[in-house]
Amino acid sequence: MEEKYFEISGENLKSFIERIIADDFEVIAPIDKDGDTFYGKINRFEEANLDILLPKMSYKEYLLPKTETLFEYSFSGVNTDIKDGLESVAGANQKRVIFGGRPCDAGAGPIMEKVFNWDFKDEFFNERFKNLTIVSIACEKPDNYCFCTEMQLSPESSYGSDVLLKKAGDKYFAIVTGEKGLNLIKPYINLFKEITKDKVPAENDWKKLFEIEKTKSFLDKNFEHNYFQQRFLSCIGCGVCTYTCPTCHCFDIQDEGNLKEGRRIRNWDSCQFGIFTLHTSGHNPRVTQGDRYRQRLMHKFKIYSEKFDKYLCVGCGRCSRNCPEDIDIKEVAKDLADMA
Amino acid sequence: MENIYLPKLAEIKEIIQETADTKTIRLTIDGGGIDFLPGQFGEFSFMGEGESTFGLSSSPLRKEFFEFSFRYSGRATSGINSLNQGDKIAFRGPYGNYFDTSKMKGKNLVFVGGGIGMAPVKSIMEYCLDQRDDYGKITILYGARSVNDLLYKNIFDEWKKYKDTELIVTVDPGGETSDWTGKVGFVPTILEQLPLKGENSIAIVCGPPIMIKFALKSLEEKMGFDKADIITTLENRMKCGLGKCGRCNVGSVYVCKDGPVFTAKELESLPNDF
Amino acid sequence: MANTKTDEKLQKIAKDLLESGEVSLIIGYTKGSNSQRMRPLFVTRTEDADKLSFSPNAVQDLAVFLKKAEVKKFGKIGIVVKGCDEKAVNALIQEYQISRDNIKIIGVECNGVIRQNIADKGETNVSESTVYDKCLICEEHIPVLYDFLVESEEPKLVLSGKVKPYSEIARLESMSSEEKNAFWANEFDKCIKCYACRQACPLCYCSRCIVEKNTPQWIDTNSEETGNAQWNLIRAYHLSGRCIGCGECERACPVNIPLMLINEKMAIDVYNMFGYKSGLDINAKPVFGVFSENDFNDFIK
Repeated sequence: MEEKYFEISGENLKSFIERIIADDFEVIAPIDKDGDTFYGKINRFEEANLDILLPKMSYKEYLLPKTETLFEYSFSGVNTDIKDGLESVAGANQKRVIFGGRPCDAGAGPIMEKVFNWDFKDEFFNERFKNLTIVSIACEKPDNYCFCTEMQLSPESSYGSDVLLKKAGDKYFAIVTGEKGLNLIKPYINLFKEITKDKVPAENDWKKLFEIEKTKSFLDKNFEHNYFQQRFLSCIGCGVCTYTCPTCHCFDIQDEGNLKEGRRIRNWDSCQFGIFTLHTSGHNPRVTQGDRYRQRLMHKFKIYSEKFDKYLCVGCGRCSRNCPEDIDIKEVAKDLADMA
Repeated sequence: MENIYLPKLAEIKEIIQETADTKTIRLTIDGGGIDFLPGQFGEFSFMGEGESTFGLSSSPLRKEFFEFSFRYSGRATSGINSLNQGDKIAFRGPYGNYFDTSKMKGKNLVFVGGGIGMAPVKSIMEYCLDQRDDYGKITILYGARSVNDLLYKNIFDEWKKYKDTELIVTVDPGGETSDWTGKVGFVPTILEQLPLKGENSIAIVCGPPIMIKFALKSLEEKMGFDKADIITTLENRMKCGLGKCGRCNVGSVYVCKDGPVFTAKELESLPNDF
Repeated sequence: MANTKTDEKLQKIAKDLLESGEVSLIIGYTKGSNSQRMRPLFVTRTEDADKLSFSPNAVQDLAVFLKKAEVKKFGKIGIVVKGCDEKAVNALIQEYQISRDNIKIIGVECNGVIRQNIADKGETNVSESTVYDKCLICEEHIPVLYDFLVESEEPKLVLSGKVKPYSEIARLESMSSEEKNAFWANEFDKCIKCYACRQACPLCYCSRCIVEKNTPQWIDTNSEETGNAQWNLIRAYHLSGRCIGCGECERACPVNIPLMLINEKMAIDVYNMFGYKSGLDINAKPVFGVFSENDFNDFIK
């Protein structure tokens, strides 16, 4: 489907959200909580904080839950019964809308979709992704940690959004990118006014601070560079960068249960943890935190793009804002580009 | 809609106690083996204790079963170790790439295995022995820390029976017993002493990272093997085996999908991250 | 931004220590990614000492780096510490993790650090409503142990008593077991098991954490009700009598679990039962490392 363009007043946007909530949609939006802002379910439009740049965590958990049951098992005599975990995901809420996220967060879904489908198809991810409708709001004022423009997106990018809203005074322009977005707004179409593309203001000319291709070309040639060991002496090896990241998707598979019954689950995991690559023999290819942070950079800016034609980073800057030791990935990526 | 994480249940046909802490388990699904290629691996588990990654160690041409060898050292392997003949093991696989046997046809083959790393070697080696006429001279060098750490002792004689096939077994210095008749020395050292040339030959090397490192050096520098003719496997830590979980990245390679089999030439283009 | 007198003093001390060869590494602070942030700095060359700085945004407890293998390699280390952080150095010495001989303590007088989340939003004032709760109960504005002391240029923190530090503890103590359970279930539900609490903690130095041990599996791996509660509670117990109250676990937590309510409550209980506060005396034996006949034993019924 070709993109469609609409106008909607602030008042009507409020009505739209309240009507979809009334029609049993689960609406996930940035909400103020514990002195910060996180994504969470809203029951009223006013609960959404649409002024915040980005919630502290991404909404990755709606695509890849922090713990997900792959299957349940039970033993009875010589028989083993297995209950496929996909059954519950197949019934995943098809009326779930992420509202008020930003273009960076929206970009994460289609990027991650690639690794979950390059050969074996991960239907857990696919089902959740398919059933999620993304209504994003373009950013007007990115902060110093943002670098979506460098990451081939922009504060106004519609990539990954089903509907992208652009604020203009007290109204919004709505870019509907496909069937999913159109299906969402169709029953409430009287709140929207269809317009032609030329009525939508052109994108701002967002400036780049560095070229990500240069970052990659440094990484291509400098695996052994001392920068990594020196720069990441200050890395304490927690999983904050990877767990708050919208695109980091590494996971662990574990069993929980007893001799009668249990389940196999997958949990978020992080390349920043020392035991991530530890062999049973005691050998560990990544000994230092420099080795591990380098892996994160490699995966984001080299490995993934070579494999899947997309960088594994949307430039949201969460890893920088949330890093307890103030490691700023934008600054690092620029450092690397400057050294290339 | 297929759940790629769902295992099949395989029945334990036979358990061979190889050493004090290693076993070989032969499995059947629907009464027989499975289709796979030498070099591929699987995820094995006793449900409740978690999965472990092991290379398949039998020849895929022996269709009545498939097998793997493992050392029990952690939670998942202890779970598997607790099982008896007739019990079920959860299995996913086969996964990964495989040894390209088309390039090996007509050539002299040297198989080099260290410790439990002999398992994937055994698969490709027995596959070649099963079609003995397709290959030139076959040399098998197998080493372990001590005599007690050698796997497959009960089938050494079987390997030697094939024509033009030599088996050399070695143990690390200090690992020999008073009645030991084999060699004493580290695998790379013994390897260098063998009258082998790189010409028209393929070497297959599996074992601990340190042994691979030095064996590759011996083959390349001392014995004149071309890097493209040395084939090895990477034993990176894996979880999913499906190219998703991100654990086995080396460079832009997912070892579980693009590997585990690599030539020394391919390894050269990878960063030192394994 | 120009150097303050504090910065200059720090830089001089660092230079002298490096030049004389007394240490091979100085761990200090430098300006961070925005004007309201500081970050750790590792100085091995005298010319880099000029980057050292200190401000009420120096929130990190740098003692955390003393447990890191890559840092230990440097041997003799100089470290810039606030009073709270310095207690972690003492506890590490008490627990034989580092040797007093290998460490030069560069103490900085501190009158409170601004909570990072509000500093990020532009807060620049140091006041009882902007600093961490730990600053409101701080008795070590000047570190208890130091080789060098850099006195503060900042005004003393004025406490009106209006802001009650850790006031949630009293509220929690007044709750029924069910209510407490519900409170913590709600908090632990947020946990994503990123282990930032552990990694940011200077006293969580086990080379293999109990959560990484699986024979037996002490802690459920899931990040749901059971796994999260087990993790947070077991970690709390491992810190009881040891936590020095730097609050780094809570600051590092990306989902804002009020971990200091647990740690501070534990510290209060340990003090009431054993008269012991962690990290005040390098010659004292850790409270759970010794047995005394006078130990509190009312729990034996």
